[in-house]
Amino acid sequence: MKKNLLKKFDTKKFFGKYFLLMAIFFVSVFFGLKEPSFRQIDNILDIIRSGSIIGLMSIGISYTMIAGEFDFSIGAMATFSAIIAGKLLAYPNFNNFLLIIFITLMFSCIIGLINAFNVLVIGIPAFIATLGLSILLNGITKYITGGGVFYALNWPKTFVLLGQGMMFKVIPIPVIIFFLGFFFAWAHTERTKTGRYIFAVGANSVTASHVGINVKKIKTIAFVFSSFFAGFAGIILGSTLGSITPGMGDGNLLPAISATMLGATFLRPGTPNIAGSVIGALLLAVITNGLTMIGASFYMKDIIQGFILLISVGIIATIKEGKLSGVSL
Amino acid sequence: MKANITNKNNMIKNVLMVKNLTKKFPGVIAINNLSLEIGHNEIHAIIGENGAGKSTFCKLLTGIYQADEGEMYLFGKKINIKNPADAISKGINMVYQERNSINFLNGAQNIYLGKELIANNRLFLDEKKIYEKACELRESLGIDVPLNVPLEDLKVSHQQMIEIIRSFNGNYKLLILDEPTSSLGEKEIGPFLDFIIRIKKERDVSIIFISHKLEEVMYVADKISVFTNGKKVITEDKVNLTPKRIIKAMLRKDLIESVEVKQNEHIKSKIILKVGKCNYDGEEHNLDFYIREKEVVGFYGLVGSGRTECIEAIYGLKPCENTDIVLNGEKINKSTPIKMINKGVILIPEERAHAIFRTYSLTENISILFLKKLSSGLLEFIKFKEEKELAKNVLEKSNIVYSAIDQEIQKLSGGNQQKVVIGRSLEIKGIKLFFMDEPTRGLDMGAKNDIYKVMRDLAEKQNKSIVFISSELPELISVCDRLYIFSEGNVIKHFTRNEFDKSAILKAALGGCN
Repeated sequence: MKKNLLKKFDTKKFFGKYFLLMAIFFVSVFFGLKEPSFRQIDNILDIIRSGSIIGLMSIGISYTMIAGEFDFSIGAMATFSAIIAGKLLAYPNFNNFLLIIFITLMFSCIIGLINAFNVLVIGIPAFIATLGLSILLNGITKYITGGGVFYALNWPKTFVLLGQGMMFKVIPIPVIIFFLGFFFAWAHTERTKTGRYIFAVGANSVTASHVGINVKKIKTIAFVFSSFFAGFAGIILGSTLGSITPGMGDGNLLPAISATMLGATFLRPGTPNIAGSVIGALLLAVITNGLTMIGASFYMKDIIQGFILLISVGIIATIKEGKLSGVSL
Repeated sequence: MKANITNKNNMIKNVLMVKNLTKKFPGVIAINNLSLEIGHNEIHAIIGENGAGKSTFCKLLTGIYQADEGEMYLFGKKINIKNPADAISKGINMVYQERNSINFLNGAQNIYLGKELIANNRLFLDEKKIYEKACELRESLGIDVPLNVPLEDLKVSHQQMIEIIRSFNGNYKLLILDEPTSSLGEKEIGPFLDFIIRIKKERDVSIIFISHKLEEVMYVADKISVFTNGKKVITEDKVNLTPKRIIKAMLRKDLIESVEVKQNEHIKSKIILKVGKCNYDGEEHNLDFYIREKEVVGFYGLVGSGRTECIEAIYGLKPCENTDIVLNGEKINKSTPIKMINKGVILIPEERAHAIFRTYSLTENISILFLKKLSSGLLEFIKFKEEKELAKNVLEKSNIVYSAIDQEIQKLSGGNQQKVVIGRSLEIKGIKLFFMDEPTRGLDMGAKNDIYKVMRDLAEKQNKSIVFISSELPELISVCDRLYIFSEGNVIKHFTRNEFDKSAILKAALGGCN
């Protein structure tokens, strides 16, 4: 009994859905016209490279936010995983690179499980539980580094390769990892059963349990993936910088959160999603890079990024007439 | 001049007078051409079944809703109440069914909530004065409750009394009490009712007392009005009324198309669910009921009688201990929704919002139950083509009017949403038993009749069993094969179809009053 209705083109809706893409387009055109070197392929790849860390972290936090929770520990998690990988690689007879990456990522997943335990079993609100763990992890990191910058001369070359290497001499390896991570997370959340369940739990956990979804299990998966991606981002961050500083992950925490918030305006306004988060992260990277290119003052980046976040979420909130549940903390 | 004088006399007699009040909601007329007078210094009880329009009436008086038609007069003066603050300023105050206090504040602070007294330095609260004033008010009302203790440390009845003290903190002429005894324990009710009566005698105030407990109403009221389907059926002095007459007035006229019920076939069919005593919400509940194959069994009871809680416990939505649940000959210990669905039981919840993902598409709302079947491979990728097929299939089978399978489910009418919820459950392999909690709530008559037909169809043609929870007796009587009556969390009575008698059923549900 299908009713045949001609679909009316809804400008308001269209604008809401694709605002983020339009923003990235216009911002790029603006910088491209103002500064020709902005348009070069090298620079474009560099933008993506610099966006990859925030991008991976925002993929991580998207998982928890889609599931209706929050993960404040991704920043500390990134630092923590970098220091674990760095410390292990510094032992001369223990430098099987792949094995160490594997161990580090396992550690990340365990941290995710601890977050899930605190939130779902003990019942600490996610915001506080993950904030607490974040502070704790930062403490451990400081203990390991002694508070200062950590690096080791006997790190295998592969360690820096991950962050600084190039494939075919043009494409930065972080860009490739970023795309692989994006593609995996996108397919996982949008195309698989588990992904659908994560969205369902975040949309309405009461309904989810009524239709027989194990809500706690799904939220646990979300927390684990969140930490996993944050850990991955941390390894690449350490590798890019060639050293590890306590607090280096925290510097990317707020940009990652705002990328995810920006992303929540994309396609399904009000719900965070992987594609949106990635585009959000790229938008932030474009702004940072472009402003440097045209020689804007150092404070302009923050001012413009703050504006864009407020304006885009604001526009969506007005279009949806008030309620933006998915974006609120 | 003479007319003026009579008018004045009237003024003193009637605190409140409403004339031809009407309030419509999409699909229902909640208040239908209602006229009522509340006399000076009287306790006027309003009684009626759930959905009879009692609370809508109160919300009109307190300005939460605006009437579509009709007039209201307060002391003979025509008024128009814009919002609750406006009602309060005009001297109408309501004590809501839910507690409206702040738990960590003490009684005095709660009584002065929103009217805080500021100390002479114009900076801080004058806690001492607030306490003294609150105590004065308490004394003048003659209530004995501590006011210097945080509310959370007090008994519920004391919290209730503090709310009532608060409603006297100001010059109120009309006090509305909405089911004030519903949260009180057995022993607290009597003294509380006496308190209400005393307040009325000592204070210059009229009280509207809303309840569905007949016994209380007969005890406390001066006048009683019975509401049915948004209409006032009778208003009489209590002395002229008998419980029997009230029950008779409460029964609604049958608006339901007769649903065809084939009888007796089910009587010999096998029992698929048998429930005895269960422990949940910290109490033991006596749930003696069984469900046979191919029958529709109604659960009737008034609000708070524990029907929903009972099925939520059985379905595993709330922790339940020492259960005595036998499903298909198998004893169920710790049930979870997943386990119950696998064993062929599904709950269609009271709030439709709990059954659907409002902003998600029809397809997603239907396929959410079948993703295991619809996905393949290690990563369990969803097979989108089959997902759409399934969704279309369900929508066609259930006769649902829709424009596109990817439209948001919230764009459908309530009746169609309900049909999606029922339709998708039917696709689950091996589903035998439906718990439907108020499946027709908020639907218009046509949609309701559709749902009734779907239910009978399920039972008679598809060999399913249905537990039909409803607060509307007529629909239960017309659709069900048997009825269980709930009261205070227990099953207290059982009727088979040939014993169905409205007054007897209502009497059982109202409990204890002859």
